[in-house]
Amino acid sequence: MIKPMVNINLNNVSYTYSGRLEPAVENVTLSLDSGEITAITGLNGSGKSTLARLILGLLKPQEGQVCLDNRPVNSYTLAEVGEKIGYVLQNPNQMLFNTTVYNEVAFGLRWKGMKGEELKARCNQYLELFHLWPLRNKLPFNLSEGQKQMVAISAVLALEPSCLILDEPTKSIDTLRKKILIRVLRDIGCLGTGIIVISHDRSFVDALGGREINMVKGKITAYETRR
Amino acid sequence: MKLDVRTKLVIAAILSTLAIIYQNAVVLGVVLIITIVALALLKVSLQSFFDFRKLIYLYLVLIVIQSLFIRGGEPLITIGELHLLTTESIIYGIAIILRFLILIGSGLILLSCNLSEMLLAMDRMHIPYEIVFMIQIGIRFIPVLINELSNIFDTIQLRGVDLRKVYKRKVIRVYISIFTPLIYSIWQKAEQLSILLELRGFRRYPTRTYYRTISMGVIDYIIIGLSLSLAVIFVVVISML
Amino acid sequence: MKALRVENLTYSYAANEKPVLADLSFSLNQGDALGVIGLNGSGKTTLSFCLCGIIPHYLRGTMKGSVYINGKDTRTTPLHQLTLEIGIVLQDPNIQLLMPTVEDDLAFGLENQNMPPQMIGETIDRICDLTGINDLRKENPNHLSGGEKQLVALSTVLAMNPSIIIFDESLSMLDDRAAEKILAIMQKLKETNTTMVIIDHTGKSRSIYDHAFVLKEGMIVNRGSTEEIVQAYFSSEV
Repeated sequence: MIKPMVNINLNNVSYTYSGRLEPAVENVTLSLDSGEITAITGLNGSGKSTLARLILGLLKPQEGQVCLDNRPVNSYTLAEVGEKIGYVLQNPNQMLFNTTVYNEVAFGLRWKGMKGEELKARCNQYLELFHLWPLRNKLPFNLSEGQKQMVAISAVLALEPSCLILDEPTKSIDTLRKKILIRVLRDIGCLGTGIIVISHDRSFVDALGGREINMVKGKITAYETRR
Repeated sequence: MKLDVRTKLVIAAILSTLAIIYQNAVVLGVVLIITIVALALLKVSLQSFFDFRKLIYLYLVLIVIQSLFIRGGEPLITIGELHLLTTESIIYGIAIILRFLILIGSGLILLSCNLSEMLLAMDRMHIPYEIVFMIQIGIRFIPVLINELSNIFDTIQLRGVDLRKVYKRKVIRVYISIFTPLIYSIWQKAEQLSILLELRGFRRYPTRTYYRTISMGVIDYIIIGLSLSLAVIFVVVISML
Repeated sequence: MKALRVENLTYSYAANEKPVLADLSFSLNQGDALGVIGLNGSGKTTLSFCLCGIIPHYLRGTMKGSVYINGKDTRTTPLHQLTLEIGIVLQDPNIQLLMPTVEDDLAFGLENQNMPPQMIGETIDRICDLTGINDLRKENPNHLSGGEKQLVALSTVLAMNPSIIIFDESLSMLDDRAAEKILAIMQKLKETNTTMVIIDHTGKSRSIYDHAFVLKEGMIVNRGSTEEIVQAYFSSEV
């Protein structure tokens, strides 16, 4: 499976929330390609999540520019951005829209017009990935927080974006699911999907490998490549 | 000098009432000056007034639009039969701006009050504690819910639903999808909230104490009396002119 | 008298469903710190609800066996009396903070108990010193960081002066620096002889436990000294 590449470019980007004096993200210049695993680390409030929202065009920088494939991110609609970049929120409850786990994974695909056997095969593939097949007929809201997180990730992955952004994915999952998640992310990373994880979970970031970007008070303080 | 929150409520109420009952630009100008003096005396920062600079252009457009409809006054700029700007509409437009500024001013007085004290004042005015508490919880959680809703809108679009291109027959389906997580969130919060309230002994006894205290001093009564009588004199004088 | 005594506790949310907790028995002396470790869905949160009386008072379901808090049976003692003995700090502090300012939040529970204002003030001063949140007193909880919110949530629980505190995954949302602050307070509480039950899947708080057990599908599968348990559990999983 060869996926189209996506190139994310941030040029001198700064963002300050209204009513705040200090910028949440300050003078960030960054280039990310699909096929890379990148971890953005830092303490709570260091601007990691804000950076993700800037990349997705959910926030508009006061200074600098964010480009996807050499076009400003704001010239895309959100649905078009979603084609390129999958985004999983910290709180999975805010992205569960359906009455069964199966429909949740099928949701985006159906909107794209996928039907019949193709849809079924695709959903099964991504449900299996996180061992969600036995839960396919359950109401997503009745699952445990860790299971919900897994459903949200597989629903976004099923759309096969070129790049995946995960915001604190290990917040409510236990060590067993963490292991599964690490394996899956490394696998899809090998297949060419770019992965950006925002995390302060040291053991998770270390196990994932790839590049690490550390943020302190909105600024990138260190780049580090491992393995 | 620290005034009781109720005194500030009375002053804000008087100023906003005056702003609503008068339409004359000159009278409103006087009320605005009084408002600014009151704000200065109450030591409320006037900074917020300047945040409304950006709206000036909007007002200019409003004045032009009004000129098209208000007949009367001397036309200043005309294109054929169309009056683009008349003296009447300028005066009317200025009156609206003044009124708006006065309302912002009294809003600033309210914002300068401590929220907890305001709620306590409501309690002292014999509003049942349950209602005061509901308002409190509303103020606390409405911003949270708005934030959640905006997250939901973002993620549903990132999942491939282009809200601008949704066909008419699918609109209802999309909105059901959007409100599912929101309703779940409200339901979940309500459930957790009732457990937590139980744990903290909410309404366990018929009475409760208040950590904060508010009390009306002599100065509060004097200021309330003074403001009310000045307001009455103002209304009487204006009606005689 | 044991601070906390659990005897043959079995609980299921619906009558014909598989029990979430199956025949648990354990007890704690005053001042003990117990670690409860387990995967998602092992029954940890349900256990914490049973320990503080939310079950059976608030959530319906079938509870068998009994829980005694400082000798009081949770089934026969009203919930508002239990809260004077036992407090619970949840994973998500957002829901635990209700009032417009931190100070009002600390006062809320005490006001409901009809404590005189002057005593409330003294209690707030004492708690703020203990948890180091003096500079946050006038803040709106919405404007705090996750770590600060959890500190405030813990303070609101401490304000009720319970002798037993349950931490339900209280550290899992926090970064290392914020978690360390909470850990330091746990250590202080331990020194003042507060009984603690710490539910945790990250192992961050392992230094606090006196002993621990592993919960799996509602059953205690492994109990003993902290070192053995923690070593066995975390080395097998990661």
